[in-house]
Amino acid sequence: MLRSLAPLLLLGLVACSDQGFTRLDNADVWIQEPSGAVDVLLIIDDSCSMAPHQAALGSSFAAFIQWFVTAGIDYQIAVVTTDGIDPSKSGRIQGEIMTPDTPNPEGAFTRAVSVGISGSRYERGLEMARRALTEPLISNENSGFLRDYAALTLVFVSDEDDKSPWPVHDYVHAFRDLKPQEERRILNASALVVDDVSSCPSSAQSSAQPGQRYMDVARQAGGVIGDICAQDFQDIAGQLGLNASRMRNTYFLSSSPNLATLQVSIDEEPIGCDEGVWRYEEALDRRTQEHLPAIVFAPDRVPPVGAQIVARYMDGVPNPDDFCRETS
Amino acid sequence: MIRFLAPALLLLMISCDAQSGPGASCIDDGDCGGLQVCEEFECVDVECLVTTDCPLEQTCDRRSFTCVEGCEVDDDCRAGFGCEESTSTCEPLECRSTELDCAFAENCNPATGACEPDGGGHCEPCSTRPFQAQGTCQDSRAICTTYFHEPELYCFLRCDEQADCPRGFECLNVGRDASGDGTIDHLCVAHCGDLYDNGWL
Repeated sequence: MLRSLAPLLLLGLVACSDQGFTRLDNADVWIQEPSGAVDVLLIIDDSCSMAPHQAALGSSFAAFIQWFVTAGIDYQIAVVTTDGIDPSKSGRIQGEIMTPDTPNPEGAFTRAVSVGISGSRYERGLEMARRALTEPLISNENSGFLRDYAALTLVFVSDEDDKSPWPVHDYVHAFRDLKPQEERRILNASALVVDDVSSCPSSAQSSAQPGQRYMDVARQAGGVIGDICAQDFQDIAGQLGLNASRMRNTYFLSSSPNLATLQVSIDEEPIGCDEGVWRYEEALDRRTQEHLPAIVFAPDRVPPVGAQIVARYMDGVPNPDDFCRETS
Repeated sequence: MIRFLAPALLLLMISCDAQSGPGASCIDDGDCGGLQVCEEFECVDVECLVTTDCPLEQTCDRRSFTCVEGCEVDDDCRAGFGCEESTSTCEPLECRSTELDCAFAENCNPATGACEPDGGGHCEPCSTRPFQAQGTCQDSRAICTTYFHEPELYCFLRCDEQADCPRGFECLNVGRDASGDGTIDHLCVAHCGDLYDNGWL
């Protein structure tokens, strides 16, 4: 009698498989958990070659801020320049600190990033960020910007390299020391800089210089690197905003998947592989610098805040031809 | 036989829309929340699922799901340290380049992997002497002059390319014949006065 019940029990289990209960080799789970609050410091080069780049950044606010709005993040955005000579700059926040309550935020952002082009050509972005976030400025002119409970994002914007005095890793230490060391994701830094001078317009190539030191900070602090010579900043600004908000659209799998078995659900709702919501990709893991199996959500279909994302799959060798193939 | 069927009976008891959380019934980790795993059909809290859940210089042991001392890649270490794979410990890195890893007026020595003082008289305060472009600068490659609108005179060393200058100095065409020999000079320049004022030199 009991023996005859076994197939029924098995059937009961299989019946649940449509609801996402299929027992596969792997079930990777993630929660979309952005930080509740983020302080964003933009460090913008105000030397004479920067006018077109400031204008392009200023018109990209909507793309930058969309993830903060989507996630309901309590943000503060402030701007300093790379000028360490002019006493009115030198790490002092320029203009007002933007928050979700700032009237006409797009206009305020455009004004904030238009820091002019009269600054020193001896750019010290890393040092100015450190000055802005430490004493004496942080308790005086810049007070109220750095909040104990908020994550910190730095975005360096320059068409030349940093000329600050310390080795790059000393600045990364200094920035991490502002926050609890045990939380890796609480600090990130991104760089909107020149990577390849030849990608810049010919008129700008004589003054452009690869931002090696800014890029090194971004690599060490989990940020993104964008090309300041790009004609259109919308995509870059979107990537910077997504990274700064700590929302994620890429989730690395713990094992190599048989793509024919790969199933993804959000909050227990299966999401078909043919719906255009997600795709399989061997994405770059910044921690290991390797390309690893990952689920990547489309920019306009990123899982909402608090969502549980689950990927179930059998182990195997990923074969692109198997992706989204009906299994018999 | 009853013992054999017990897990299956338990599985049947799991509702298809069960809530995740500590103590919740589960079939696999996908039925549990973040920082939880499914053990014996029950979700249990764990310290980590992946290494990035742990502090720097620790990694996630995927058997016990706890953070343990050690590293897997350089990114698990503090800045300036790299992961020695044979011992899983973070060790100081050698300098990669002058620009990235050295302090002002230092050069990265690839042979030793260390940053070393340049030794030249960059930014040495000086005074001029008639008919002697280098003024009181000790280094014969130096010119005693002003730059960046700073009022004081400092020694700036001649250069042909950026690699001739130590960290923090820029090989620039200064646009004048400071040496008086009829050529436009390229010098390793920096804001010397500002560097002294800030204690960087």
